Amino acid sequence: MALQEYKCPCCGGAIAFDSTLQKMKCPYCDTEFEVEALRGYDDDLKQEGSDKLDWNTDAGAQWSENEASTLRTYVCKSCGGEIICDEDTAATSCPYCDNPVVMMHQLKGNLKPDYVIPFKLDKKAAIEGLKKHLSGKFLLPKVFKDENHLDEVKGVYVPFWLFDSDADADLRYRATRTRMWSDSNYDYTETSYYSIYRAGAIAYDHVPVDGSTHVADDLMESVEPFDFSGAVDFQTAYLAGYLADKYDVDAETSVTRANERIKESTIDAFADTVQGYATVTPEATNVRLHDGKTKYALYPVWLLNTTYKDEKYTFAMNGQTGKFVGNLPTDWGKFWRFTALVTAIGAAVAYGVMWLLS
Amino acid sequence: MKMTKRVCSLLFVIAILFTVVILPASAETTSQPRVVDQSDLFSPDEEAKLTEKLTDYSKKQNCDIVFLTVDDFSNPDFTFNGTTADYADTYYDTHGYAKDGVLVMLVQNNEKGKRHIYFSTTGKCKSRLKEDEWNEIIDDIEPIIPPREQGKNGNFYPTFDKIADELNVKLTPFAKKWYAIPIAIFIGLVIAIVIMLAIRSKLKTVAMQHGAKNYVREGSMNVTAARDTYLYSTVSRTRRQKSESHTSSGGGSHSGGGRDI
Repeated sequence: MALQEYKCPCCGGAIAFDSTLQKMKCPYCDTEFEVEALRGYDDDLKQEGSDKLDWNTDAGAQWSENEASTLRTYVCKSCGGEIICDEDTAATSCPYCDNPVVMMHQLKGNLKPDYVIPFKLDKKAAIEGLKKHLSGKFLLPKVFKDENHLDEVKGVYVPFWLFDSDADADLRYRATRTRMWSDSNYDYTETSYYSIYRAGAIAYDHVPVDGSTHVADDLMESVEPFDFSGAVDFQTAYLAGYLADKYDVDAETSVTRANERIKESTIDAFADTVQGYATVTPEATNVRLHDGKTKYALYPVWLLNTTYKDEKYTFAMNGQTGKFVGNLPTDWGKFWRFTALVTAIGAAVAYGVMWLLS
Repeated sequence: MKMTKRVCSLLFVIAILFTVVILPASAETTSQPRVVDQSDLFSPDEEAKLTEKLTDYSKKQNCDIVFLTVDDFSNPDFTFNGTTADYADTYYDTHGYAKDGVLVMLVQNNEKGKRHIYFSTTGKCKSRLKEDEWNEIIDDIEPIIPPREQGKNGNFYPTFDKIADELNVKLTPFAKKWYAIPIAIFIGLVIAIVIMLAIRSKLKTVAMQHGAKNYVREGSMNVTAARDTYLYSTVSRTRRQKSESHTSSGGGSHSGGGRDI
């Protein structure tokens, strides 16, 4: 249960992963290292880490029982400062000397992720992303844009469960087709009913489910998709300079959500093969999943927090693709003013059309 | 500040609606007689009263309303194809009436030897006075029109006075009816809400995903069975709205109809 710091072999400074270079870089002497080169170094450190127990629970006496059970304290190896963090924290930085630290015990054994997608976009891109996200939003309060003080911008490796699965499906749909014709007195509509049956197989790879309760599930599903071809075998060195959590929702719990999504997509995919009908409604759907595989991965997400009128707004940017999401407040005054204006114009146009038609 | 803007936009609506109401009010009606009483059913006094009424209504509705009474089709000053409809249509076309109008003709002996009332509509009046509407007028006058046996001796004034009043109501363009403006505002409001909610939805970018389409293994989808079975059919029919128009011997496009009375 050791803290891992990556020290520059040249100058001894703390080094971090640089998303632009996709390499480790020392901020002091500008030396760059391949992540691969640190692998051996990493392994050595893992072994020696076990006999340096730097965290103590005695400090919990000062906290309430509930807090004590969810807080951990570590001692920074560089400056000796005390790092207090959540029980799920796997990587952070020292609040005193800002050196990136990785909690090795959070990433060992069962907790060791299989894959990581390294950050491709840096903090500047995240702040730029927010600016872009706020532009062109007509009903966004102007004050929100102007007074937009970012409380916090953090690069977080969010734990995700990845599910692979084969799906067999049997589906029945009720479909209708309509035909219209007329004679001199009547218009006729013929509706023909069909029973449609489809069976087949489909497979899914790496369906992600957020494994952390620290970030909202809908926020994490909104920054999807992640491109799995950018994933690499996990190495702790990638975490240096970012925050990381270990999972606190296990795979068995998470699989429910993956199954739900796989089922929805399977029904949709087979419904797409039913063509040439006016309406298609699923009647009976039977989707069986098998050969499921579960992997544990860390995905890069930039989280940005801001406060407006005492309410907290959280934004997220996909650290790989740059997809930016986050709900924004509405300027209700403007909303109603423009509703009135559009109503006026719409009413005038509607009234004009009434004149033309009568 | 907000209040002033709201008041401004409200004034804007009223201004626009007002302009639209005022603009088309340039009446273009005829100086031709509106009551052509060839059967001599009305006294000069009645004829004057009817003329006054029709002139007033014609101006209000911005179209020509004409009453024509004839004994039969024997001596027309125009050529027509012999039918009641064409007589009325062509009469309207050849006597200098406006392009929008209604001619109500009562003939004592038409080509089939029947007393017949006919409504000939042209221009905008084709859509303003539809089949069910002129039928309603005939239903309403049937109890008060002097019986056929009396010939031309009865008092026809109340009948035509009633036709004039009903035409005035039915020819009122939709836009001039009292509920037109509330309906227009309602339509505007619905449009506004749809547009504004669409704009507002841009502020909400966080939602759970539907499905896992992005994660389908490429080429893994395999349909092993596909059967489309026909079950049954149902046929429903609706009566067509007849709004056919025809061209008169005078060359105008007309609509309308009538019945023996």
